[in-house]
Amino acid sequence: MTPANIEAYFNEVAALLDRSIARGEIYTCRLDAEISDFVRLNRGKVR
Amino acid sequence: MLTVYAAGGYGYAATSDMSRAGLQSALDRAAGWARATAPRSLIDFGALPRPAPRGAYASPDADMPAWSQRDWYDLLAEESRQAGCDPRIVDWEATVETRTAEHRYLTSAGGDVSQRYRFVMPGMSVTAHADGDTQTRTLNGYRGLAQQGGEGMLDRFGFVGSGRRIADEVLQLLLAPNCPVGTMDVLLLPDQMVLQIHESIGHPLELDRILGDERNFAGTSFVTLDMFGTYRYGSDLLNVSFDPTRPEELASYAFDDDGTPAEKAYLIRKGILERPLGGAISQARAGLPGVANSRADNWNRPPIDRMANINLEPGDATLADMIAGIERGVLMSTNSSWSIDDSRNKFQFGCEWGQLIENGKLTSVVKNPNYRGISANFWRNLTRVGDAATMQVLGTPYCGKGEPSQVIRCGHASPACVFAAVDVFGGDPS
Repeated sequence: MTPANIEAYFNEVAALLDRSIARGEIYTCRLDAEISDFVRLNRGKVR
Repeated sequence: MLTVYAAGGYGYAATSDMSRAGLQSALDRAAGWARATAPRSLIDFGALPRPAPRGAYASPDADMPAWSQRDWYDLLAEESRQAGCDPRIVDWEATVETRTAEHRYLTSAGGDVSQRYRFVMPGMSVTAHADGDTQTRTLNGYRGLAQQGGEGMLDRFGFVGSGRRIADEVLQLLLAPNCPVGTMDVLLLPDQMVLQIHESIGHPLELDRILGDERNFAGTSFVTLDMFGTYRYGSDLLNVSFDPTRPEELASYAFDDDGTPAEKAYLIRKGILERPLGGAISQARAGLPGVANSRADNWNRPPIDRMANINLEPGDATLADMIAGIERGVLMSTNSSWSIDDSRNKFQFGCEWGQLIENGKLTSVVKNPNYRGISANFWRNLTRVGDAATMQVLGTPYCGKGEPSQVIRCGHASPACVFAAVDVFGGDPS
């Protein structure tokens, strides 16, 4: 998924939860995502 | 996670996109990193063997039906109710974390490994406050109760009834004097020994730390490569193993995440340092034998040298013998605080529960028991090692290391042990 797709998907899930909860219920909904490159160096070379 | 060895380099890339196109994209990125870094690589990855392990592993009771949420709720609610039994008790909690995990490892050389895990990690904690003092007592420490297998582990640790028992102990601590200050014998029970082993044997023996990889984050080690085979780490009574074969222990498995078969090996035998905690890549760099401890904490992290099950082998002393042999000392139980330098040498540890030992007898309870030492000296003052009856299999689900950060499960089994001439202190200002 691209970041834009992930955000749209997350918003759809949140909207579904909005419609699904009963009176007096609350929810929290969280998304963790990561795009990273990582290079570790040791002794001036790539480990 | 896809790992590529190409042109003598090494690259990896993870993706949650399991479509053919997503996997191909990750594979291309991994291969790109391998080729780009090969001319600047510390290691000639082309010279490493290509693993082709085949096998399977399953935790004890991996296929037994798990408790329902209702079962857990009823148990935890009852223990919680029992814990809140006194107006001085201001906070308490009964918790459980249960997990299952499936790992599949495939290699282009024909390797195919499936490993299925089941973990149960309950916790019990009670805090009391009176007259300006606050004390907390837990069941074997914060998340110290953690094993592979099913709910049968609850019986092994007396979880049912622990709410009231822990509450009674924390109220005793509230009324107790501070631990005395001085140099004396210390009897450490297993739920403190596991922290002592983890911090001052496990971490300093991690080979990537010794080689310098972790210097800027997790830290380095007071141990150097030339020590293996000759260095006296502890007294003759000190025997420490890497043991992935104890079924209920948190980090038992058949293969590590580089495909190396996991077998028991001694790290320290009769006090002499024998081998480091290094997986296949670190072993090749250091020219030393190691163990199968190259592990990743999740699908999106590369494997690095981690502790797994690091155990102190039992001796022959009964608990009664150990107490009887101490003229002046303190029994300490359940880790509550820890501080150790980044080479894992100088340390200061605190426990929840202390009890004086005077003329061979357990006497009064003391609060805020602490001790400090230097790894290189501390283990040489190991004077008694408890027998198998004093042993407990514990661990931690939350050992942090690596960049990007990884948090992984480590098992530690230990008997009770006596150390001589320890620098002990309590909560009184000095």
